Amino acid sequence: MRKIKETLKEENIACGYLYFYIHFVVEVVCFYFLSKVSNSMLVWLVPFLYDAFAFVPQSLIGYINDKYPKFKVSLIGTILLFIGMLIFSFFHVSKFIPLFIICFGNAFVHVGGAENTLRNSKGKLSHSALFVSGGSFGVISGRLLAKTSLAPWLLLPFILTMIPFILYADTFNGKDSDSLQKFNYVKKGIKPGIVIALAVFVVIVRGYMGYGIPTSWNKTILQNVYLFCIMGIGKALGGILSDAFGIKKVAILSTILAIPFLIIGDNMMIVSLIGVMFFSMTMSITLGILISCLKKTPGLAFGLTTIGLFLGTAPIFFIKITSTLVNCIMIVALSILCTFILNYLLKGNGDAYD
Amino acid sequence: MHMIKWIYDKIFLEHQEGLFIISMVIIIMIILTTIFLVNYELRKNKNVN
Repeated sequence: MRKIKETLKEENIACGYLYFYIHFVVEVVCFYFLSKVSNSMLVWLVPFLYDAFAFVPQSLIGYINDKYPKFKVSLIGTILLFIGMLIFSFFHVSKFIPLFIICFGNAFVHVGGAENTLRNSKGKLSHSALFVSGGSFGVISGRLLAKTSLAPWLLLPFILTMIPFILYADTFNGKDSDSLQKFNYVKKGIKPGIVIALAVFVVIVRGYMGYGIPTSWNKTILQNVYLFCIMGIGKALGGILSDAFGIKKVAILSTILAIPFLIIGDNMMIVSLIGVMFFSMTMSITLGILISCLKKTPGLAFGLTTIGLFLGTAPIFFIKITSTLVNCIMIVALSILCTFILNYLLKGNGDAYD
Repeated sequence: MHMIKWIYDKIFLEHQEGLFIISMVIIIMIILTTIFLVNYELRKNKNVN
C-alpha cells in the first residue's frame, strides 16, 4: 500500500490527472455523438469508421508531433471536436462530416495526452495509465448522456473546459528530455522489430477479446456503468501496480488471473468485474514495451497501440462468435499465448530501470 | 462548386459503400506508412548505436 501511495505522489503525476479529465471529456463528446448518430440505419458503418479514423491516424499524427514537439496537438484536437459538435448541433449536413472531424479531434487529443504524459513520466507507467483510464468513464458517461434529452450544443462549453487543463499540462512539458530514455522494460538481445510485432499482436488480441468477454449479467444501465468504471480502474491500476511492484509480475499475473474470473463470471457480476479489472491492466504495459523500442518517437509508439486496437476490434463488425464454448476456449488460448509473449519480452522485476 | 456538391452527394448521401471503400484504402495506406516509419526509425536507431 505504501508503494502505491508513493507511486501516486510521483513527480509530474499531475499531468496524468489533468489528462485523465481531458480524456474523459473527449470520450463523453465522442460517445454522445456516436450514440445519437448510430440510432439510424448506419448501425455498423458509423462505429466502424469512428474506430478507423479515431485510432489509425494517431500513428502519423504522433510521428509528426515527435518531430515537431511544439505543435500543440491537444489544442488542435479540442478545436476540431468543437467544430465537429458545432456542425452536428446547428448544420443539416451528412452525419459523416462531423463524424470525421470528431474522429480527428479525438486522435489529436489522444496523441497530445500520450506525448505529454510519457515525456513527463521518467520511465514510469502510472502517468500514461491515469490518462488512458479517463476514457472508460467518458465512454459510459457519453452513452448515458445521449439517452437524455440534452441538446448537443450544450456540450460545446464542456469541450472548452479542456483548454485550461491542456495549457496547464503543457507547463510540465520538456523539463526532463531524458524521461523517455528511462523506458527499459524489454529484455536485451531481442530484435526491436520482433518486440514491436509481438507487442502489437498482444494489443490486437486484447482488443479482439474485449468484445468477446462473456457478460450475460450485464443487462441494466447500472451494471453497464459498473463495467466501464471497473475497466477504467483496471487500466489505471495496471500502470500504478507496475511502477510499484514491477511490470513483469503485474503483466503476467493480471493476464493469468483474468482467465478464471472472466470464464466463471459469465453470470456473476462481481466475479466478472474482477476479471475485467485484471484484463484491463495490460493496456499501459504494452505501451511501455513499445516505448522501450521507440524511445525517440513516443507518438509513433502510442499510435501502434491504437492501430492494434483497431485491428483487434475491426473483425467484430463482420464476424461474431455466437457459441459460448468457442468464445471461452478462445479467451483461454489467447490469454495463455499473451502470457508467454509478455514473459518472453519483459525484463525481470529487479532490473526494470537500469 | 458543382464538383464539390457532386462529390458530396455521391459519397456522403447516395453511395455509402463507396465511402467505406475509400476509408479502407486510406486506413490501409496509413498502416503501411506507419510500418515504413517504424522500420525507418529502427534502422536509424541501429545506425546511431
